[in-house]
Amino acid sequence: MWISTIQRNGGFVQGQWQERFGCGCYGNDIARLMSSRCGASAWRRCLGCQRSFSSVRDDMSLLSTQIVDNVAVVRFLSPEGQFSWGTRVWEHRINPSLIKQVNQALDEAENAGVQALLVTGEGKFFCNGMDLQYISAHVSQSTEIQTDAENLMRRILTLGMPTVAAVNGHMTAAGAMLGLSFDKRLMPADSKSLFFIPGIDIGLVYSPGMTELMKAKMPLPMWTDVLCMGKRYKSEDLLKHGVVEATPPPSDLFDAAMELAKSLKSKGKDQKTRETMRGIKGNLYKDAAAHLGSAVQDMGFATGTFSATGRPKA
Amino acid sequence: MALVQTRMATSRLTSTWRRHLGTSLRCFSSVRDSMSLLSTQMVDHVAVVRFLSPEGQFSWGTRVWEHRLNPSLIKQVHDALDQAEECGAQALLLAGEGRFFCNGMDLQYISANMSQAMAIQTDAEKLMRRVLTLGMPTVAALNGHTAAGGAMLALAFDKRLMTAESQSVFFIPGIDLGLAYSTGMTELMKAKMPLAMWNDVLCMGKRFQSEELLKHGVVEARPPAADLFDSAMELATSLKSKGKDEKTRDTLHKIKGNLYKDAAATLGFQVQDMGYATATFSATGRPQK
Repeated sequence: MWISTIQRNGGFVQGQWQERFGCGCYGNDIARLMSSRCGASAWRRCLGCQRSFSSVRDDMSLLSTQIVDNVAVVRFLSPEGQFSWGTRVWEHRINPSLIKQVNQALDEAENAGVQALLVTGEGKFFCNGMDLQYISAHVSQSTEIQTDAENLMRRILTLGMPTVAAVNGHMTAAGAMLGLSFDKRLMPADSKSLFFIPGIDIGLVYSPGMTELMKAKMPLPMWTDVLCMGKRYKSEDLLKHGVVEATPPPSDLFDAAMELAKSLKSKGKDQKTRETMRGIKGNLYKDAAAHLGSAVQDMGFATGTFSATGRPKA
Repeated sequence: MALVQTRMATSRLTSTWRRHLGTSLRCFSSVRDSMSLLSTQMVDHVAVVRFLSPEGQFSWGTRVWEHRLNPSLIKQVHDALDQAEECGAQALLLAGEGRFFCNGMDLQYISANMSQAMAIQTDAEKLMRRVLTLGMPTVAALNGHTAAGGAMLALAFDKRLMTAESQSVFFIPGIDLGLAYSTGMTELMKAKMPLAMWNDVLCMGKRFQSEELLKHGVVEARPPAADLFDSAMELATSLKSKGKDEKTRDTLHKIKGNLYKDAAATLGFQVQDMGYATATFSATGRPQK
């Protein structure tokens, strides 16, 4: 099954194979399925360097949800492995699967009448942006995917309850925008995790909705640096600018975020309050809400100058 | 609990006393609903307006010294601004006395006159817009609690000084009372507070003291209570050159009109029903359980 999928993709050039698996080998051969597991992963081996790469079922659960003391806790899961299009799951990149599952989690939270939302990830990444490899493989869907991503950002931005993001790792590109949609962010101190939005480096122009969202959630002195210069920030810089609320030690991140979410529960305490919250946010973030997901311009994915892993092409 | 009205053998000029005949036997003075709520004087070309703080309540129950926004106060402030403009004042200073600068919209008045709710909100917003774009430098001396609509009114001024007294708080509790802000109010708040404060103030109803407001640049200074008025007067006097003549005042009015374009375009226009009829506040503006 894997082989036929790869063959069907066509246009399979030498360099693409290298990028897809992240190893330095060129291979004309198509990797063969050496063994398969039940459940989420199957393994493929590069016949150049003999390294194995696991792939996951494309429809697997990407997140877990639980309700703790009236707070909805959503965690991005981080199994080893890649989707069939090559993206590593633990990057928590924004693709149709993740968008769908986050929306479902939000539906659950709203239906259960929770009083606050906490979203976090595990591992090196909070969210590493749009799933560029998926989009490359489905360029005709790129506007639709971007629209869905923007609609998700708008939903979180105006959600009728306090929202907290515990930023466990790198928060980049559209993943940074998603993080900015939350009311509050916590990010560990002294970590290597970075916040940056590199549209300029990869030939992608932000839509009006994305631009308004970024302007609504970062102070003016940051605008040029973030949007035009793709500047990189660590948690301490973000704290100074007021973009993160606190920088707890890494081991305390989740507990600190949970404490914050609980302290805000009164602002989502009942249906009336949650309706009020939606109304207030809808006005406060009026421009972003009006543009996110509407008349999404082609960001230039077809002509973008990025590699499959989102790095600028040399 | 019903108040039984009794009159004293002697009645004061502005107040009559009523005694609660329930368990507490407390006395409440009520004031003539049309009394003067503020004083105005011109001091060295600075129009000085003070909210007065007599004991007592309006007939609908609101305590006068909270300086809440009701049709009386709104009208009297407009009159004071008219006077200031006609006399060619070069700056405006507004100060209160006592525990409150301004504790917001007069919710008890609105509850008792629900059909007027939108009209009162519109008038309050128009007052905010007038102060926001006034053709002279404006200074507010925040002597006490500055809450809700009162905080918005304070934000409409060019400059705020707030007493360093720790009990005085600045906050906007719409979320707690089930009241969503209108577009105009939202634009005003965004125009006068740094972005880092927006979410905390509007969505979370966070309470601020003068120290934090100073850090954010929302107040200019936080002198001790005894020095508040003099410091505010000093500031207003120092800004007189920016309202020195008719031409300058006209220029300032237009500069503000552009600088605060979004707020000016929406305050008082197409005022949405904030939800007073379904809001969850008690008569004194506290959230109902």
